[in-house]
Amino acid sequence: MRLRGPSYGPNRAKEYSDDTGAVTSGPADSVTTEVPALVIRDLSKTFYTAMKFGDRRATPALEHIDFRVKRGEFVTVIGPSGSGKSTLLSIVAGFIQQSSGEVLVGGEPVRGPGPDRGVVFQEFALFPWLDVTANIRFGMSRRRLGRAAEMEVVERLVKLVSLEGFEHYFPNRLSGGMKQRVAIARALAYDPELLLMDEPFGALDAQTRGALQVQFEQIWQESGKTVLFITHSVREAVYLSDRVLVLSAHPGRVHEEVWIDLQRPRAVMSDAFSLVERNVARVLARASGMNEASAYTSD
Amino acid sequence: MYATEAPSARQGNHGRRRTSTQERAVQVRTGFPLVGAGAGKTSRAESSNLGLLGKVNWTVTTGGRSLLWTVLPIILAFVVWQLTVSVLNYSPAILPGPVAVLGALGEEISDGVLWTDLIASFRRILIGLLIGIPAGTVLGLSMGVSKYVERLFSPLLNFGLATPGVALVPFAILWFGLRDTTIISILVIEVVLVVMLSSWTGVRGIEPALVNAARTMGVDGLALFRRVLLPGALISIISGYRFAFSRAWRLLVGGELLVGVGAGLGYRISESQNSFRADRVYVGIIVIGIIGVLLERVILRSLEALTVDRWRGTT
Repeated sequence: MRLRGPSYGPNRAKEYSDDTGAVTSGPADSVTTEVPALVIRDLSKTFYTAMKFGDRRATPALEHIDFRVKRGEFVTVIGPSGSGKSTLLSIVAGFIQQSSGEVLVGGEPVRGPGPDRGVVFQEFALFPWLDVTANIRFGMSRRRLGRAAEMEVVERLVKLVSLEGFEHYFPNRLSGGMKQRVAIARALAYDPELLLMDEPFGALDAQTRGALQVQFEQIWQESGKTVLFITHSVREAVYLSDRVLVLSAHPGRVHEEVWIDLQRPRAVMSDAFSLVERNVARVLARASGMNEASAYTSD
Repeated sequence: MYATEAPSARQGNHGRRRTSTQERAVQVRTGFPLVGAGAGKTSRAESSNLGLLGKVNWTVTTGGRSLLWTVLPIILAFVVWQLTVSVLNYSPAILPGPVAVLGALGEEISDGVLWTDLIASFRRILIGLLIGIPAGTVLGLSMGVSKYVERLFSPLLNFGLATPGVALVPFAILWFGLRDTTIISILVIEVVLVVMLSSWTGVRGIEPALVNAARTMGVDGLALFRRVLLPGALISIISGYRFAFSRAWRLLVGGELLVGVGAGLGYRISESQNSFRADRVYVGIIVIGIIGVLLERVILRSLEALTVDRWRGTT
């Protein structure tokens, strides 16, 4: 039961020919001609560490990464540590530059950070000197809505992330889960096409984490945003994503792509879910070069 | 699952009241006062409605100290002082008793010397701060923003901070002679250095994620400075001002002792010593100490409480 997106198959890159990455023809999706939200084409990143005598040591972090994300799609990147998940996200966000290859967001090549992408950080990154409202409004000035309309949007977002009553709290008085909800609202406030989330629930306790996953899935469906999501947790990836990209490490490469064909909202305790979860865990174990048996013990 | 989290946090205000009773229970059981911001807040609220004759909350020591604990050490010091004078029977030319010193203080107040000195000293430190604070802030912030400015100034800053301010007095005398300008110039140097350091480290200490977050929201350049770097460095900058004041206050007294400019709290001490007025030497020391404490703890601290304390803590 596939809810979103066509299956591109292993040779999907060849189905696209023009430079913007627009889908001109595709076996399962021949009607649309829309520009994908994100196109990553033959992306590589090598880090250099300065050594003695002017030498430098090259560490390849990502090699020949190639994928695209449709508008409204939820794609999760998962992989062992050292697979360059966060590097990949930082490149898409524009915080660091790729060594080679192309990154197109909405058909435009990425040149530095910009408001077409909203970033949610693991460490929340709220401005401690601003209250909840001011944090959410931070990036909105460029939308030129005017104060009244701005406050209306803020009010709607506060409701969306269930923070009514906390509008004038400073971040130091909020719990981790509440902080991350403010950060999500802040990223939605300036209406970016693409949401980039770097282990957003990684710093939270298990219970809060589960609750936020449920809530964030609803927020995502209501907002219709495209999401590129990084996580360590197989269950989180299976619960949230349309598609999971499993990276292998040293250097980071796309090891396998897994479509999650479960109906939403997904029941974590169901047999179907467990089956998919185990499958992804197995793929991840293979990508990590681990014994497959160890896959079943991971969360 | 999510619903269980929100209501407990929503009770914020009531929740704190409950913890205060818990804290007290802990204090009673263990006998140790609780240390921390939360404990400080509750104790301040509670000590305010304590009469001196009422039940004294002995365990409350953090944050808002009770009046008793502010006054008691001072009274004790005076008693020990008086006892030492009575028992050892030193000449009042070396060790005058507290009564004699208070008398000398009254004398200085009535003949107006104290006011002249206060005005002279305050004028110097005020000019020193008025020049030093803006200059130091601008220099320090530009060090935080630009790698090149940072490389240019950081060795000089380290050198300057390692050099005691008093060591510059002879150099300043060579340049300006025995004048007000001499003292003011070393105060300016001291203030600039301290404020530079705190503004610089304030900007350097901002979490990179905050800057990244702002830049993804299209906030860069001057707007980034105004909306993120400046407020992010504010805690450090303001505590730098406090620290600059206390260092300048010390240096002022040292400078006045060495430069002899006719008036000033430090100058009065050396002048009293030269005219064998030990009681006035003690008056000078006490007045300098009291004013230092008052300005730093009361005025500058409340400046901090009004601005950055509201959101100090975690991000």
